[in-house]
Amino acid sequence: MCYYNGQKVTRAEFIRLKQLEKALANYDFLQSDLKIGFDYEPNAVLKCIEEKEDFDIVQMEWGFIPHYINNREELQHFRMGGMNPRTGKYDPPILTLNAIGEELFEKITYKNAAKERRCLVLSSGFYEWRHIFPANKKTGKPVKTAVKYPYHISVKEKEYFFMAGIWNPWTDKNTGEHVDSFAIVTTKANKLMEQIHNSKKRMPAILNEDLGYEWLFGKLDEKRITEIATIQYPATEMEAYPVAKDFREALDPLKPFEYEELPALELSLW
Amino acid sequence: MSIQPDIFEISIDGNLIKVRGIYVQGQTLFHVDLKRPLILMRASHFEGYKFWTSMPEGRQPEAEKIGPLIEEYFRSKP
Repeated sequence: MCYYNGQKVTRAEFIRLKQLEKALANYDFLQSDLKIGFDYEPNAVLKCIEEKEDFDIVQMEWGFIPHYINNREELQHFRMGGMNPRTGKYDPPILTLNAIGEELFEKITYKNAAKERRCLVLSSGFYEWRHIFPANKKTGKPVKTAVKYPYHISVKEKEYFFMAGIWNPWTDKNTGEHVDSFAIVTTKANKLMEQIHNSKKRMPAILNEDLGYEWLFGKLDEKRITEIATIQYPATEMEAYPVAKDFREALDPLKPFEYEELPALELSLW
Repeated sequence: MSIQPDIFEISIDGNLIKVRGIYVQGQTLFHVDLKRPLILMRASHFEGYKFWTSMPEGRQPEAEKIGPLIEEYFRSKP
């Protein structure tokens, strides 16, 4: 006889519940509020169920891992860079957190994923750094090194929204560990984001529900994929505020923080 | 089909608590945003009727208390 939580169930039901329980055990994100986390953390992603117009919410690692990476050690070197013992030269870090929407089909790493493995990254908000160059007190000229201020950015009146993503399955050839990893697709910054992410002037490709549906389930050609990947969500429908510089370690990273010296965003531009 | 996750609030002991529907392996579960998050789902009893249960096991009294509130939310939804 099988019991689940003290309730008598059939053997088939018991197996179903235990299988679900096993799947859930890997979903750390269920133990906290949904957010787009920090680099290389697991995040909640909507992934298409093969051959069905349906999806699962799954957990994936942020930071697209290409097939040619053999193990975690290589991955660490790939992401962080460092001296290459074979060549004796310094390898720069390669960042795959974001994939440039306009260039999806120009990059071998992303091309197949853009065609065959598109996903939606579920988010309640994200962080970006604003670079300010205050005037030097002696010379009056802008300083050369920027002072950076973090902002939390979200979509107005939406607790959750979707960012276009692409994903890739990966197995560590040494340990057999398997993860799905993803990159967030980025587009040219809108009027709000170009003031905040003013160093690169990029932003995530945020999709409304119709475009999200098309991105996830559509049989799309390269032209349409690129069109959706470069969608610019309207600035007027987004909001942003500064947070503390140590927000990553803060108990409440979303707490607004006021910097006296920080110029306000130019709202009239929206 | 909607791709918007279900998010709603229910009143538990006078406090509004956020609940969100989650879809795992094609099945719907509910994440209840308590201080110690609780995941609930409907299961089938050996005798054929449905009951609320927590996942993982161990929080059956809470499941039996909160599950019907979720049901009530869907029943009263316009």
